[in-house]
Amino acid sequence: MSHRSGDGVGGTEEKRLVRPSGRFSTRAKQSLSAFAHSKSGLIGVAIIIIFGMMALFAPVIDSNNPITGTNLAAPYAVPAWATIFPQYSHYPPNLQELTDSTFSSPGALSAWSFKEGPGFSYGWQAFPVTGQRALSYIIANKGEGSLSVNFTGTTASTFNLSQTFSYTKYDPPNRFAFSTFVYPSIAKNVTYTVTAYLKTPAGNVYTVGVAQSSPLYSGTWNQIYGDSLSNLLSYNTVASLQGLSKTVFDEHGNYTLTLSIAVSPTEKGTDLRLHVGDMSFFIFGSAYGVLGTDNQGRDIWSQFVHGARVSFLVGILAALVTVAVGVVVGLAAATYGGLVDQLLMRVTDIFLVLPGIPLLIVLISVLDRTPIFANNPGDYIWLVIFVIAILSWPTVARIINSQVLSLKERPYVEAARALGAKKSYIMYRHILPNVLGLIYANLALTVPTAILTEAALDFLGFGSGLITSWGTITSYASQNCAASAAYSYCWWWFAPPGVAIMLLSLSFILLGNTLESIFNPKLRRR
Amino acid sequence: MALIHYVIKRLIYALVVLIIIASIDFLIFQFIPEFVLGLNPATLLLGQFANRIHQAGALEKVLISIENTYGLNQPWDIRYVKYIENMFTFNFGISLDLSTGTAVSLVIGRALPNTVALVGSATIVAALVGIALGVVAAAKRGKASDIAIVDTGLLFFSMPSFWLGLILLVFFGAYLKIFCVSQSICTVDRVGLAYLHGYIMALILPVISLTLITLGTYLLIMRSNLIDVFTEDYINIARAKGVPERTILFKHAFRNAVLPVVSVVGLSLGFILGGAVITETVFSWPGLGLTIISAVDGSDYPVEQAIFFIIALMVVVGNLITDLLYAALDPRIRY
Repeated sequence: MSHRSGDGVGGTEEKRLVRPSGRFSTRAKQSLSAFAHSKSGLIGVAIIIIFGMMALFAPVIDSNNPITGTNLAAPYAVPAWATIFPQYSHYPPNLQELTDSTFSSPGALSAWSFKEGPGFSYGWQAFPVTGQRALSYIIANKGEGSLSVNFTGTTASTFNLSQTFSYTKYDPPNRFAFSTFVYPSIAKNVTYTVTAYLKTPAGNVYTVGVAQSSPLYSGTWNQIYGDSLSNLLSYNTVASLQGLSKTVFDEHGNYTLTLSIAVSPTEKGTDLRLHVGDMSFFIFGSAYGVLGTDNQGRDIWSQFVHGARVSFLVGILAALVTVAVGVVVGLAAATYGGLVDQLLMRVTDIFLVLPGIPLLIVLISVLDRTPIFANNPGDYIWLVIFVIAILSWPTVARIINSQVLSLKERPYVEAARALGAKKSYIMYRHILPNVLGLIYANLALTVPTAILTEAALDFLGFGSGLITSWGTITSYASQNCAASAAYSYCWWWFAPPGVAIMLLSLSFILLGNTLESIFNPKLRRR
Repeated sequence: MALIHYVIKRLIYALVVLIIIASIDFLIFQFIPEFVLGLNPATLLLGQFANRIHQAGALEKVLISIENTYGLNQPWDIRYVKYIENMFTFNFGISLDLSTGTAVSLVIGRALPNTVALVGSATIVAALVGIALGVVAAAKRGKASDIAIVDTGLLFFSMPSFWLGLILLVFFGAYLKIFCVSQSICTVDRVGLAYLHGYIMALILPVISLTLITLGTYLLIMRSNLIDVFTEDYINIARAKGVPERTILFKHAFRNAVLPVVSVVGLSLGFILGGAVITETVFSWPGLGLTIISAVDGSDYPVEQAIFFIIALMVVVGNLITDLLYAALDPRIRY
């Protein structure tokens, strides 16, 4: 790529023989204008900026918590935009099927139909002051009122409250859940059962939530809950809905949800007052968000955005350390020559031979036991940065060393030496400014190595361990979905992290190559 | 005579590098646990092992083995010498993974052929294809096909190897079902040719994955070498003489340009073997990489340190061979 970039910069081979004239700022300007002419360099910088912004503003542009934000939609939901493809076009989004189900105002009651047996009366009431909404859950609405149901009869009786919704536009969902909150404020001489059931267009009836009077605590809000994915969340639900989602919603048409309160008086002087609030029948979307959801219904887009942070942090810090060590070693060896050079470069050669990934793995497996990392697993990232740097500096040291050795033979350096300049002065004043460009280029070219290594370590489970890193996201995707034809192998989960790593690495390579060709005119012949 | 001197010099150098690598192993597995982490390597080893011992007498066996292998009660200098000696005689002790206590050399003996098959075929294919594509790119320098080849090479170079492997596995293995997704599944209950067939069907995808990752390096180096050679005077003279471009490319330029690729293949062995660790994990290919990963998961230190040493040994030997090959092939090299 380098051959096609960076035309029109001053500084041919002959000019380089004398010490590049002009002040530093003019040279910087020349380099900048050369850069502006390089198409691939600019593309690289543009991609880096896009991902950099993503990393910087991750907490702002993530729509949900990437780690704790579970159950945002059905597990393995495709991205919302994927519904433009025919096979996903009928995937349901997140749907709240009931209207006015929070009973937020007296008018809400008109959305419901009621069938009250003898002894029942009902009406709207503001939330009782003493009641607390004990549980807050994603599907619980936040209305400021309740339906109040009173019973003072003498014989067993039933109160039904129902609403009909139509489910015709979409495929059956992967998951649905019913929830309501019940607050028994008075329950005297009575037993009762609250049952929620769903009637399908074909007339099949499924219980979606049941609670009996004995486990319902009076004086507090009790949640009655049924979930087609798991029944674990409710302590008083006997609904056996697991896996029923596809069957229940396979019949397109009008579904009726009914909340039925069956009471039987035990003694004379029966008095029951139940408040019903925050009712919800929620279809968890099979199409959700920018990049769909993972196996726990978490937002992959939010994880992806935070992944940019991990890659940038590791890539740039590891590259800085790598280049710093490499430059010091390379410069020192070239400056002092002789035994120092021999020694340093032999060490460099040995480090070059070391197989990087296996060494990283064994090193991390042992350092893993250090107490500092036991307390805060997030600190692993510093270990990873450190270890990557240890293994990557030899390449940089070699490049810098050979460049400095060739610069040392230039006439202007010889002239300085003849004038009696000290080694350190020549190094600082004459040689360092001329390898600066190469240092920048190497900085850019080391970043992809670090990013790729970190991602690989995270994939193997030896990296930062952060859930939001691109390597970990890929690892989870492969563990949960690699063989799952039913969920199209989760391409929305697999593809983004890999593509992002590739793009970011590639753009740093483009940037590095462009810098290299600007500062090293010899390369431009190619 | 001179060549023999060179060979001896390189052999001694390789030996020194190996001793240093064994010392790094010692540093990581004996020195760091004891001095940095304050753990006695014996307790470190036994602590992990004690939980897994179900067989009577196994603990005794392990204790004796650890004592014999590492000489833990000896002073540091003796321990160090013993450790290096153990490494060079492949006396790695016994694996802590199984309560039966399999010898580590046996574990490695099982995994090594698989890794050699994977890395060997991937390296050969990558070198051949990389050289061929590099020649095409250099011949068509600046044209669309050159740009396409170079960009594709860069793209694969910047692709995460585990991700590429997964995509290949899911697409060709799980979706299209052309290749086997796991060696153990494909070779189970098979003997002879059927076994070989299953083995190769499972090998193809990991080889493709590893090849694509390493291909880019060879391609780019071959291309830039050729372009460099094209600027040499003798090429200009050949052109001036009217030698056809094709003849110049293959008779005059190719040989000079291809030699450095040989040494790059040697130098990148460490990178390839690192890539093999990841590729083996993705494809569940039972080689050294998969073994070292499961050893780390189970804190099986003897296996970890042995595999690290063996991988480094492979790199050093590979480098030695390419260096000697280079010296034998390139008459310009003076020893």
